Amino acid sequence: MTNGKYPDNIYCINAMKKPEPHRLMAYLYGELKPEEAKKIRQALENFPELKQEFVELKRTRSLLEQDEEEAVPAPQFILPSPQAPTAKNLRLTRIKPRLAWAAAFLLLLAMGYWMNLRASWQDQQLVLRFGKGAGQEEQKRWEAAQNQFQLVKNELDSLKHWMLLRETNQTELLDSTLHTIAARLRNQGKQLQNLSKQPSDTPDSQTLLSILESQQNQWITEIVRQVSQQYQEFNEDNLSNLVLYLENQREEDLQNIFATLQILQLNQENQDLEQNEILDEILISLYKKQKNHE
Amino acid sequence: MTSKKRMVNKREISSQLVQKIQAGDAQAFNKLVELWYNRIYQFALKMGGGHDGASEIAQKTFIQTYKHLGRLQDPERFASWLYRIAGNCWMEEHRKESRRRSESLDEASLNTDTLGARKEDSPEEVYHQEELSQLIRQALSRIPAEQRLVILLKTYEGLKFSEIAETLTIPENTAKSRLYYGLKALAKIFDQWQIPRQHLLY
Repeated sequence: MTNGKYPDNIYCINAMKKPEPHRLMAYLYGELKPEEAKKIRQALENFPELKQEFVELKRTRSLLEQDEEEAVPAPQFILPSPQAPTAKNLRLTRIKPRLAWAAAFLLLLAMGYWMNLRASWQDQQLVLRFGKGAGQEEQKRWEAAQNQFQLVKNELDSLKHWMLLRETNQTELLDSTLHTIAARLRNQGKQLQNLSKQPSDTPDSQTLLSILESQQNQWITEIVRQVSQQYQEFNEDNLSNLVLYLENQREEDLQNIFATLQILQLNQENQDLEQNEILDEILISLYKKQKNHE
Repeated sequence: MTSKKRMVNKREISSQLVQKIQAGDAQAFNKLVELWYNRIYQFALKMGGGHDGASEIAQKTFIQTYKHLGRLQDPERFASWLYRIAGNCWMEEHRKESRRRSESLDEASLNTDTLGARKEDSPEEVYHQEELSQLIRQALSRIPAEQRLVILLKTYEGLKFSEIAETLTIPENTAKSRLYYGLKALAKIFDQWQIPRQHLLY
């Protein structure tokens, strides 16, 4: 409709030209300025076919407005008590301390698991030295490690469930954090592997072992301190501190955790798909029933 | 109280309730639901999907609303925000339904099922068989969803064009144009169906 001669905002105020559809709509619903509305009224007088079109539009609107809606009662939503998380509390700043707590708990479990495995490595040195008793000890340690891993898995499971319930982004944050930790852990794992290859009685390996043991004690002490501080202050920065300490976990542990997470996610997706399929079936059967009824 | 005043009052109350919820009063949410549930239900019903579908979409809308209410920065704009969520919920459901039936969006097959296959019926039969509200819903189901959305938000929900533009994240003139073409299409459908004159008085 624009001819390029007039600016767009000038166009509608010329009563000798037909107004554009959007201006006609603004007029129909009373959202035009008085001076513009006056020009539209003049245009309607000048163009009988435009007036006819406008009358039809007005009739259609009138017909739509005659629809008498039957009010439906609102359902009552069962909501958490005021102390429980609310929409506001679900925001990132409030959720982080919880994440930190969960991460700290996970860290403690993983540390315990790691201690067992380090002992296993030490035993491996003994077996090599004395040449017997390795099989049963290995079995016991494996079972203990399995139990520890199950605890970690359960905790992750509930953590994941909790996250999914509340905020998808938080689950992504957790995954991303764990991926970062794994990447940094690879270096630590390689160091440990190199160390295990060296003869146990060389001064270098003994020194490194004692340093590692000392570091472990320091880490545990520091973690307890951090957790306590986290509980008291709910400080977001502590999360990054805890993440730094988490970096010192064994790579294998984290790989297991990732595998578990992926399985959990896959299971969740499969479950969702199954639920959707069941819902689809129910809906389709309802539609059919309704159709038959009609 | 006029419709406009009622709407203003409703918005003021909504804004206050939103602020209460954001401050931690979770129970205020049910008051908000009470205030808006019927509107969202009617909106979903007219968008298509029948009463069951409308009920489901309305409930999903309010679950999403509760979940994300903390992110709403301007409580004054709650209405636009709420309709945007409702629109998204409907689109999501509609996409699922379309996938199931492998039919195109514009066919709006939801209502075809709900209201019965009326395309074969004569206009007179259609009119005699259906109540006016069902007739309107059937006509609405035959126009493109994007035009239907604007018609509903303007005619039944009383949003200003600027609010519709904000809700649908489209330019204001586009909203007006969609309304224009939607009303024209409906006029044509009603004309084909030969709606008695008493319903076309204004």
